Amino acid sequence: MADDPFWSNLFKRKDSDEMALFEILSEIPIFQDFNTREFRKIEGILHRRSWGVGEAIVQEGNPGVGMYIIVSGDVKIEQTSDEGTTQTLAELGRGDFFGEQALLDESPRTASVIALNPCKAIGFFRPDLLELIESNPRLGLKIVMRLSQMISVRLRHTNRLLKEARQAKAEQAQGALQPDVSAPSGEVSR
Amino acid sequence: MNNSSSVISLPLRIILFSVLIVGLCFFVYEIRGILAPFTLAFVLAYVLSPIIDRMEGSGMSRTGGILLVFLSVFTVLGFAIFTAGSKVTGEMRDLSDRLQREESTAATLALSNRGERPIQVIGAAWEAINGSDLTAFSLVDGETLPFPLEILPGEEGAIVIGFSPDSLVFAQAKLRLELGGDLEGEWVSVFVAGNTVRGQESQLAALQQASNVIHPMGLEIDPKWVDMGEAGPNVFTDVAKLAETLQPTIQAYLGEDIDLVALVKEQGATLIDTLWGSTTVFLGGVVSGLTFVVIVPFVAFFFLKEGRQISRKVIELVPNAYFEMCLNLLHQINGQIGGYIRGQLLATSVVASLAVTGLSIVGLQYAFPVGLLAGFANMIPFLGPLIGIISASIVALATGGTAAMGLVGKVIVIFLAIQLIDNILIQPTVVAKSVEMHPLMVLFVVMVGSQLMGIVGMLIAVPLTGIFKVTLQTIYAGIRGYRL
Repeated sequence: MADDPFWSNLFKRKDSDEMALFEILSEIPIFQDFNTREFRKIEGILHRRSWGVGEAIVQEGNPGVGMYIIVSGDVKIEQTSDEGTTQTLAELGRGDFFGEQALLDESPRTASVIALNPCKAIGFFRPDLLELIESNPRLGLKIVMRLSQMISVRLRHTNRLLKEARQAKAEQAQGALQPDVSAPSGEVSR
Repeated sequence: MNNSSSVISLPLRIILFSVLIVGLCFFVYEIRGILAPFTLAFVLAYVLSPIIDRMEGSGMSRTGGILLVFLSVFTVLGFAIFTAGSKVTGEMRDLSDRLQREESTAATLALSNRGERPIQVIGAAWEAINGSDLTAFSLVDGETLPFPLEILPGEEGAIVIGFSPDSLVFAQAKLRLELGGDLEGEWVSVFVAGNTVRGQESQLAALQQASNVIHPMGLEIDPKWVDMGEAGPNVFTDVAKLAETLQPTIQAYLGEDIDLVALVKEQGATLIDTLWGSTTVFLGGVVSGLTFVVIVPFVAFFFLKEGRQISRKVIELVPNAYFEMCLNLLHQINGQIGGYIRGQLLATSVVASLAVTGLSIVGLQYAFPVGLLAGFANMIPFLGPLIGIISASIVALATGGTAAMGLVGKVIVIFLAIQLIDNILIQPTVVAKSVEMHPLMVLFVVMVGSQLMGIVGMLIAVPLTGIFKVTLQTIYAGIRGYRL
């Protein structure tokens, strides 16, 4: 019966695709505890894309347009230093996301994201978020609120690291210990 | 998918791309006749989309919002058409008719001799029917007419009849041909009528009945009665009449060989031909009745409802390397074009309503079509206001009669006031500075537009170029941040 075009059309396969998508999305802090209706709205403005091995999903230095959520495959995050050497910062897989800060402003990407194997991801971009805020302010506001919460948590974390670093530095200066400065330079934030 | 594009070398890619663009341009030019409803729907969608976004934002479904907006737009339009429509369309038809109408027509009367003896026509005279006016009818080249005209058996002679009435009413007369030689004292007559379309059908029927005359000596006249078609004074006849009074003054300054009347008539006719000629081809696609009323809302509905999905599908086709850039650019271009179209339309409607109101107050005939034209023409920088002033002045000259000069003065004052309002209040607020175009550019695109699509082409050339410019600017500004 599964091959019957009538029944398969009636109970669209899309539903299971949709559910899988919603499952992934509900793991993302931005879309946490959204209901199905809200997911349907969001789904309408998401872009599904796929990349081949070695292809860049995000190129360092390009203006940021939005965030990506990995549906399948793995990616590595790379940063090029001023001297030209590249350094891999992290590897991400299914359900991970990156680039969410670009939803808020158009500053250049701080790192490149390269596909390690054939990779599928969902894109959520600033122009679409802006339109969503116009057409559905309640939902738009919810997303923006979550985004700010995420950024705020991260900022608090950074502040704590900074404080620790300062304390360490002060202790160093007081104790005049060996110059072993390995203070955390702050997390890569995009 | 990415590998396949790198197989083709760069020069080949550029050539392929150019061929594609040229082909596309040619295709668009070929189908320009049916583009009008789509373009209009596109513009309509851009104009209405902020309203519908707002409605959707307040909780209404998008489809519901579109239907509601359409319903109100149609109600307003319907009300406008119901109340002022017939007067306005009548004015427009009348005006376009006055512009395009032939001043005079001519017809050839063939006389053939089917008899055995030569036939001599020694003269011709016009006779009134039911006291009709004879001044409209003439024999062309009165002095050189071949009277006496001798037609040998089996041969043919010709007489050319001219028709130049000073009004549009139905005119009829009898042309009486006097015969000479053996037939001295005999005559044949031919019925001639003009502007019959405006007369009644019954008059034509009566004429056809009356023209069943048996001609003596086998003189056959073809046609049996003459329909001169439609003719009457057009706008330039009236302007030329005014020019006639100015002729002596002008000749005093510019020399004897300036013939103002001929100049006005010739140049006027050429101008109208140029403007109207290709326009009708273009408008043919638009005005063909129902298509317009049905297709435009239909297409606009889908542009409004599915615009986002359409652009999403388009973006899906873009290769990964350019995807983010295209997404960003498309969004910006969309915003810019929307702003430009809405700004232009607002400026146009404000100027048009000011012009219509002003011209009606002054008492100009055809205030509505002329004001509307002035509003649309106002989109063309520099030339636009001039087009408005000139067309309104021509109408004032043609319809003003004795007070024509005073009316022209008032028209000019009205237009100066509108220009002042436009430049101080409207332009700075609604039209983006970034779309300012160089005067030479404007002149060039307006001329190209008029060449391709007549007056409609002239009017859409500037906004089209504006859209093009906005797009290029956005692309240029947006592309700089990317490493390509």
